[in-house]
Amino acid sequence: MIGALARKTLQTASALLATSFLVFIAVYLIGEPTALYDPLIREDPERLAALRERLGLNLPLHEQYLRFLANLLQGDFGESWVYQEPAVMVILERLPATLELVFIAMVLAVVLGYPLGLLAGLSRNNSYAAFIERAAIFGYSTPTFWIGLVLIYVFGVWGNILPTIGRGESITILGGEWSLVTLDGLSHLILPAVTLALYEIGYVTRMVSTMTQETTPKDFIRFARAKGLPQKRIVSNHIIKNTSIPLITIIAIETGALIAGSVITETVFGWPGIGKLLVDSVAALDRPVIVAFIMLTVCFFLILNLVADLLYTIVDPRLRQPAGGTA
Amino acid sequence: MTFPLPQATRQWKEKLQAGFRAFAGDKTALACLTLVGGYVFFAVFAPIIAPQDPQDLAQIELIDARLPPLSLGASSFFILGSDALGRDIFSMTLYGLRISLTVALISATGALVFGAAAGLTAAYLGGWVNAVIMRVVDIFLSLPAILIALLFIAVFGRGVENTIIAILAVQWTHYARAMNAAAAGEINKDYVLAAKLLGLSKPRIMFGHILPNCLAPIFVIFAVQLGYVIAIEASLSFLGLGLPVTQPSLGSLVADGQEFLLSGAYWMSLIPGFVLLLLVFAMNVVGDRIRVLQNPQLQRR
Repeated sequence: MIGALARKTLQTASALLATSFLVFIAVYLIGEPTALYDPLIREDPERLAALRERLGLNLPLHEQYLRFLANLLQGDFGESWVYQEPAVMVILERLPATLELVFIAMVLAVVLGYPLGLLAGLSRNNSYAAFIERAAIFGYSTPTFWIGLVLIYVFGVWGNILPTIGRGESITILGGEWSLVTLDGLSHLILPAVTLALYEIGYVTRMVSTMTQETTPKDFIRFARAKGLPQKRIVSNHIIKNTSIPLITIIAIETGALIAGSVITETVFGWPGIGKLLVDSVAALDRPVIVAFIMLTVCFFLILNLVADLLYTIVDPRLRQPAGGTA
Repeated sequence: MTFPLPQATRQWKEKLQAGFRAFAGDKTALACLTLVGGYVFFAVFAPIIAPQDPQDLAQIELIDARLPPLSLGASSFFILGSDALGRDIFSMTLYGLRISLTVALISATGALVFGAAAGLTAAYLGGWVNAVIMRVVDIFLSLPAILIALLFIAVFGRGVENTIIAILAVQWTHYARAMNAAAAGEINKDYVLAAKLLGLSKPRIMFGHILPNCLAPIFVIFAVQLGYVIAIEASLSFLGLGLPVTQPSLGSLVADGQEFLLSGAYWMSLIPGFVLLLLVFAMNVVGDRIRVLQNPQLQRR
């Protein structure tokens, strides 16, 4: 178990290192970084040289990379060119808004998607199940922005029931601003959360349905059936247990995907989270924020993967055996 | 290559017919395939079908601006309404569909070629080449698509080519992984050994001998992913980070109409969006049907 943990951690660290290298190449080698500075500085050779020295561009490449890496390790991504404060702070300030959106969406997705998927997967030739499955494909085929706009039109323009733009009243808890706890905040949260969840409900439904279909013909289920176990127990004891393991990974990875995928929902609803920040930063070429965003997200993703792997080991005893297995 | 050609073609024809019969066993999937065919027809013949060329200023009357669907304007009849400049939404949607489909096909094909080549090369050369390529694939696959696409847009900038590059960067990993797995299963077979003993060059063995035996999973992925490719392009264009204003895809049309939604002009953004939604849905159903037919585990026993 410890060996597996160490191996996974090492893999995660090497993947992070590889990503930092790729990002370094992407952001610092393609194009001249000084090209975005004031032309007054760029066209004066003396000031340009000073700038290049300050940015470390006169150093050999491997030293530039080491410098970049050392800064990353200290959490120093530089100052945002748009907001004039550390890039990490810019992101962290907007993180609670995205987190509460993603949390509600994920809860909706699992609470609705899991039972629907189980139902669809258990009764394959039933037209009702086929309908659920098609509906799920419909759910994840629907462009997020289109659903968002339809919801805005129906609830904001037509019905004028719910607020459609921005975030509601928020309260400061543990240094972060949370709107989940106020009534006004919740009413602002409903439409974006439903929009974000819709794709995910479809995805979870389909995943659970596929996993159930792949589990039911397996020998241990047939054996349980031959043993005369009632369907109810087969489902609760065998199918749910065996589909819940991959579901953990799906939830872990999809939480990350939702955080990154909130980009579109946040843009549609003017939600001040990190997704909208990323779009604005890409449009404004705010390089420090883009680099910080990517490194933090990759880091977060790899850690989510690591956690999912470890949870696997806890839930599935076969993976706990010493190295050499398929773990 | 021992078969005389007519027999080989007949075999292919029979295989295709059998495949189509199996596919048509699902009526919804068949309906969706027809729908996709209809979309392709409209996209190809857009310049003939569209009552107006949205890029031609001479055909546009500002007096026709913001007409709701089914209204008779000064220049023509607007079946789906008009936008803030008086352009016909129906025509713009047809042209947008054409652009969306073209970009999606080019980027998906590019991803297929690049990904398959990378996966095959990795599998054939093995060792550290395989380890490095497949590790990069793993990292790409562990990240959400929209994030990778935005990173590439951030580095290369906007525009048609860069949008295609961004989608390619998102998609190639699926092909690389499938190709790698398929090729790994072929490499130790006798015909590869025979080709090696004949002294054929590495590229010739890889692309002439192994590749034809690994095509089935690659084309399944193509079918499954095509709807997704269209959705990514639409998302990028919706965010204003994809195709330029001069080449509006369905996603750009939705974004353009968005600001008029709050004043009640739903048709400018919701109609192109609905056309997009139906297209992606139909493609996903078709792709899903092909995936199910290729995976015996998912078929009813």
